[in-house]
Amino acid sequence: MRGKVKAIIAKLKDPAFWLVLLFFAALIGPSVVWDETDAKFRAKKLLWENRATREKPLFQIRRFQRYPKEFGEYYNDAFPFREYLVWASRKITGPLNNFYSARVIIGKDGFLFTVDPVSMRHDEPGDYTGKTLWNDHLESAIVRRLEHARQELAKMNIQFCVVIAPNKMAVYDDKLPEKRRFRKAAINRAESLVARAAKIAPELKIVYPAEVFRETRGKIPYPLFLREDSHWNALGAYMATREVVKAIPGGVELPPLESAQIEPAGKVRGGDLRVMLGGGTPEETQLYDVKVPGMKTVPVAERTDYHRRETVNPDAPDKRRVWVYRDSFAAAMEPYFGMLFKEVVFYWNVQPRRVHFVKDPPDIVVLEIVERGLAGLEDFDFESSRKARLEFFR
Amino acid sequence: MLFSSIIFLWIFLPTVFLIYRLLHDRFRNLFLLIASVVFYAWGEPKMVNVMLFSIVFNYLAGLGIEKAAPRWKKLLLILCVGVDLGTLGIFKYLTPSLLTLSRWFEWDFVVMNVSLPIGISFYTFQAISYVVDVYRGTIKAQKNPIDMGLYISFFPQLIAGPIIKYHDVEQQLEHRTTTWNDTAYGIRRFVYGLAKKVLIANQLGAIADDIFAIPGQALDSSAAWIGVLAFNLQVYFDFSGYSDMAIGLGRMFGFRFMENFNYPYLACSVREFWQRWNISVFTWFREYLYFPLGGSRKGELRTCLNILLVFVATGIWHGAALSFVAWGAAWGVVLILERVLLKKFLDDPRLRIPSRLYFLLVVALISVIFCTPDLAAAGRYVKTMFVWTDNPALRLSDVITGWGWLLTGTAVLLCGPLQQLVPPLRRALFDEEHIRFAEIPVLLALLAASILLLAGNAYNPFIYFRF
Repeated sequence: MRGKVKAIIAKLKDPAFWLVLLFFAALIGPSVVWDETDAKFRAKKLLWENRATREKPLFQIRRFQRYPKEFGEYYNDAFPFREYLVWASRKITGPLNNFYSARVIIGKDGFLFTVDPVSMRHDEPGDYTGKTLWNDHLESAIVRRLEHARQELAKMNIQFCVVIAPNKMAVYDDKLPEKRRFRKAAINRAESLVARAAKIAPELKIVYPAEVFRETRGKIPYPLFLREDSHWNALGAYMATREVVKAIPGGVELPPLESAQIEPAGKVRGGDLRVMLGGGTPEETQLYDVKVPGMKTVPVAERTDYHRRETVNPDAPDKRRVWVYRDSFAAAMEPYFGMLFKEVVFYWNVQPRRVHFVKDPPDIVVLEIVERGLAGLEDFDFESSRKARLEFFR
Repeated sequence: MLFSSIIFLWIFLPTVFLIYRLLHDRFRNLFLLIASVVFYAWGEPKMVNVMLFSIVFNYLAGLGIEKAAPRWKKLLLILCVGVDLGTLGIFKYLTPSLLTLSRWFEWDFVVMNVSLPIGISFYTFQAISYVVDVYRGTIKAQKNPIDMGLYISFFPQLIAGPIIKYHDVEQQLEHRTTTWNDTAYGIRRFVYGLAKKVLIANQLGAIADDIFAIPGQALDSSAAWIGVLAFNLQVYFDFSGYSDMAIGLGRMFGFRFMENFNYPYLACSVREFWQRWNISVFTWFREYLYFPLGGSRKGELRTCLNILLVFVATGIWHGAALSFVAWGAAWGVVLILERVLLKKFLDDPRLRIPSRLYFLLVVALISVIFCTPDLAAAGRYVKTMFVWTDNPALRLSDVITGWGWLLTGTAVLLCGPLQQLVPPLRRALFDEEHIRFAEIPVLLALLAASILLLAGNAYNPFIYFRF
C-alpha cells in the first residue's frame, strides 16, 4: 500500500504526467463540457454566414465514400464553442493579414465598399484614384481587340456592345468615411477606355453609365446600389439596361428611371460585403423593382449550371435575339432585358468567341463587365478557339 | 484528414491514443493499422484502395524476392520497383504530362483527370526502400502483413513524411515501449510543430500569397523581396512543423523517427543545406539512386552527372510540372559548381559570413521557380528583385502590416539564428529526458492559440448573393 502511495506521489511530481493529462484534457474537455441544448452555451449571434448550418449526416454503407466529407462539413459547423472561437480568431488574425474584413471599407450610412490594394483585382479605390489605369499600349491593344470582335460580328449581321457596370465608389464616393477620402483621379480606367475607343474605334460602343448614375441619384429618393453589397440593385440595373439599349440602333427605349414606376420588391438581409465583414445578423434592406407600362416581366429559365440562363418573351416589343456575356452584375439586368427582347440568353463568366457564333447566332451581343474587374479584358481574344469550345459547350 | 484540423485534434487523436493505451500489446499494431487506414480513407475515400494495393503488393513482393532463386531476384526487384514507380507515375504524372503535351502540340482531346492520392510519393518510396533492402539482404522480409501494412500506412508519417526506411523501424514494429516521458516528449514535439504550422507558416503564407497575386507590372523590388522571404520562411515552418508533428505523434505511440530538419537556413552552402533540409528524402535519394548510379566512385565527370540526375529526380518527385524539373536541375547545377569551383571558399571557416550570404541568395533565387506559375514568370520576378523597380502606387503597408513585420522577424529568429545564439534553448527544445513544469503552460498556450486560429478557418460564409 505504502509503495502504491509513493508511486502516486512520484507520478504527481512528474511534469511529464501533468503534460500528458492536461494535453488530453484540452483536447477532450470542450466536447465533454459542450452542450448545445443548454441555453448558456448559445451565443447571441456572433457570426452571420448567410447560409444554413449543415445537419449531421447518417452513416450509410452504400454512401460511405461521401460520409467523411459530409461529416467534416457538419463538424465544421458544429464543433464545440465554434461561434466563440471563430469570432475570437477573426478578431486576432484581422490585423495580421489581408483577411476578409480588411477587404471592406465601412462608409457612411452603412455603405460598404470593396478594397483589394495588393492584387488590385477588385479594388474600388484603385479605380477611383487612377491607380489601375492601363498604359497606352495595353489600352490600345484592348480597344483594337474589342473592335476586331465588333467588325467580325458585324460581318455576321450581329450588333456588339460593351457595358461597364460602374463601381459603387464611382457613384457614392460621398459615402466614404473621412479617413478614407481618396483623391479622385481626373480620369479613371473605364473613362480612359471609352475615350480611347472613341478615338481609334469610333464605331465600337462602350457604355459606362457612371455619370448618368450620379445625375439620377440626385433626382430620386431611392438608392441605385445595395448598401451592404458590392452590386447595384434593380434600379441601377434598369438604368444600365436603358443605356445599353440606347446604344444599340433600332432598340426600344425604356423610360428614364425618374419617370418610371418604382415598386417595393421585398427585402434582403446583408450582402456579400457584409458577409465578408463578419459579425452578427445584419438589418434588412429594402429592394425595388421597375414596372414599365405595356411591357411584361417574364421568368428567367435556368439551365443545369450557371453558365446559361434564358428569357423568352413572345410579346416583347423588340423581336431580336440577344446574347449577354456577363458577370454577376447583369443578373439584376435579366428582367429588363427579358422585358424588351424576344429571346435573351445570359452566359456567365465566359467571353464571346468566334466559335460560339457558328450555329444559330443571335442578333445582338452584349459584353457586360464590372469596372473593378476590367483587368478581365486584358486577355480578351475573339479568335481563341480551343478553350472557348471547352468552356462554352460544357 | 490533416493534423492541423479540429476534427483530428478533438476526435481522432484522443480516441486513437486512449484506445491504443488500453489495448494489450498484441493488438496494438492491428489497431494502429486500422486507425491509419481510417485516417487515410477519411481524406481519400476512393484512393485508399491504391494504398491498400501498395501494401499487399509490396508485402508479397518482399516475400517473393527473399524466396526467389538468385538469378531471378534482380528481375523480380526490377518488376516490383517498376510497378511501384508505374503506380506513382500514373496517378501523379500522367494527367499533367498529357496536358503539357496537348498544349505544346495543340492536340485537341479531352484529358482524363486522374486524381492524385495524397501521400503517394511518400508511401511509394517507403515501399521501394523496403523491397530494395530485402533484395540487398539488409533486412528480412516481413512475414506479418499487419506489421507490413503498419509500416507503409502509419498515419503520423503517411501524408508528408518523413520517409521511414524499413530497417529504421523494423525492431520498433515488433517491440516498443511507451513511457510517460515518451508521450510527453511526443506531445511537446507535436505542439511545437502545430504552432509552427498554424501560428507562423499559415500567416506567412497569407502574406506571400498576397504578394504573388500582385500583377507583374505593379510589383516593385521591395515587395518582391518580402514575398520571397515570406515564402521561404513559410515553406520551412510548414514542412518542418509537419515533420515535428509526425515525429511527436510517432513518439506518442512508441516509435522513434529520424529527424527531418536541422535548421537548414543556418547552412553555409547548398551541400550543407541538403544535409539539413528534408533529410529523409535526401538520404533516400542518396541511398537508392545516387549510390547505385556509382556515387562519387566513378570519376569527377560521372559524379557531377549523378548529382544532376539525382536532383532532377528530386524535382520530379516534388511535382509533375516542368518548373519542378527546372527547380531540381537548378539545385543540381549549383551543387556541381560548389564541388568544382567553390569548395575551397565554402570550406574556409574565415568566410562563414560571405558563404552564408551566398547560400541565402541561392535559396532565394531558386525558390522563385517554386512559387511562380511558370519559368517566364520566374524570370520576370527575379528581374524585379535585382533591377530596382519602384511603384509609387503600391504602398509597403498594403503589402505587409506592422503585425506582419513582427511575425516575419520572429520567424527569422526562430528558424535557426536564435537557437544558434542561445544553445541552451536548442537543447531544451530537443531534450528527451526532461519536461519542465515551466514548459507546460507555454505548450498549453501554444496549443490553445493554434486551436483558436484553426477554428477561424471554419468561418465559411456564402458570399455570393447573385451571380
